[in-house]
Amino acid sequence: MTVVPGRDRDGSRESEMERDIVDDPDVHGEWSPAPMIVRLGDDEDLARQLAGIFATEYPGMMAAVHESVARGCAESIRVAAHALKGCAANFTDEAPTTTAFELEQIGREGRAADAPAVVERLAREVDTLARALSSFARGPS
Amino acid sequence: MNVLIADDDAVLRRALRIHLERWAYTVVERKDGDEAWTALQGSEAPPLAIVDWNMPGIDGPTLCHDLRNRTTTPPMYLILLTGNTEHRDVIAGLESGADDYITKPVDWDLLRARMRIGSRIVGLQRALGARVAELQSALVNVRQLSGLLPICAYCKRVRDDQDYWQQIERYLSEHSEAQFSHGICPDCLEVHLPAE
Repeated sequence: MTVVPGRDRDGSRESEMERDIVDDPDVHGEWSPAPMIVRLGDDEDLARQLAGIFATEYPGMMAAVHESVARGCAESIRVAAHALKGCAANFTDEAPTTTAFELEQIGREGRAADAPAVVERLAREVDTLARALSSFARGPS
Repeated sequence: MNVLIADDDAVLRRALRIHLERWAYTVVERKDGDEAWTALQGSEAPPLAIVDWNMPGIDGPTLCHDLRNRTTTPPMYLILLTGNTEHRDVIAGLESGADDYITKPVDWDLLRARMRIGSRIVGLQRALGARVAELQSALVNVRQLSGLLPICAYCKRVRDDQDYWQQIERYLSEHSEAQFSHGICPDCLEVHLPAE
């Protein structure tokens, strides 16, 4: 279990116990909120808000990806994958951000036939991230 | 100062709003380029805007380009926000008419510094605009005094635009910023009030 330096919500003192919880991979899957919290100036409340927004938004974005792949339209694939990549990148620069980028490239290069295999993987990765974010958004239990 | 944020990413919009409000900006939020274009019309449009490169509707570079080509645009500082980090993208973004360029993920300290620069430049543009307006107004008054002015050869009254004959000092007061204080020159003193 990793403990990263942080302040309590009132900004006054270290709060290792809470940090233990938010950084526990067993609680949030492989995604760790710590880098994001640091990037947000140690604002954990804001990080939880943003995680909650992703949980609300990602089904629509994933649906747009599926729909574009089903149509076989490379430009639509590029646009839908780009939107998902941008949103996921707020939380991680690894999967599913990298996979969304891969799909965006497929769209850009007009290789719509290569998209279905990547989308399957992308959907699994997005689900995993979404579960971790939803759990984090609910806060420490 | 008002700032418009235009991005289809709801997560990033929220993060931008929270940070900008902390820095004492008033945020106007739009989720695509068409909505942003509408919000940036008119004299009450936010003078600062952070616009995403890739968003539904008008994209960021086109938005910047079209805003710069308007002749009625009030002073406006435009920051392009994008995940495109390649050198040629930065150049293309700035050449589209953006004043600045921020890459994702957003470095909040850097954005805050850039916003300060934007605010300062908008302030300077506004001050410059106000000074130009003052000068244009003064120029109108000066022009009123130019041209042919009929003056009586005897009493020295001048004829105004409505064909009324006025004392020259009154005419000049009404058509310029000049003010008069009355006195007597040495020659007139000798003629009108000779020493006894």
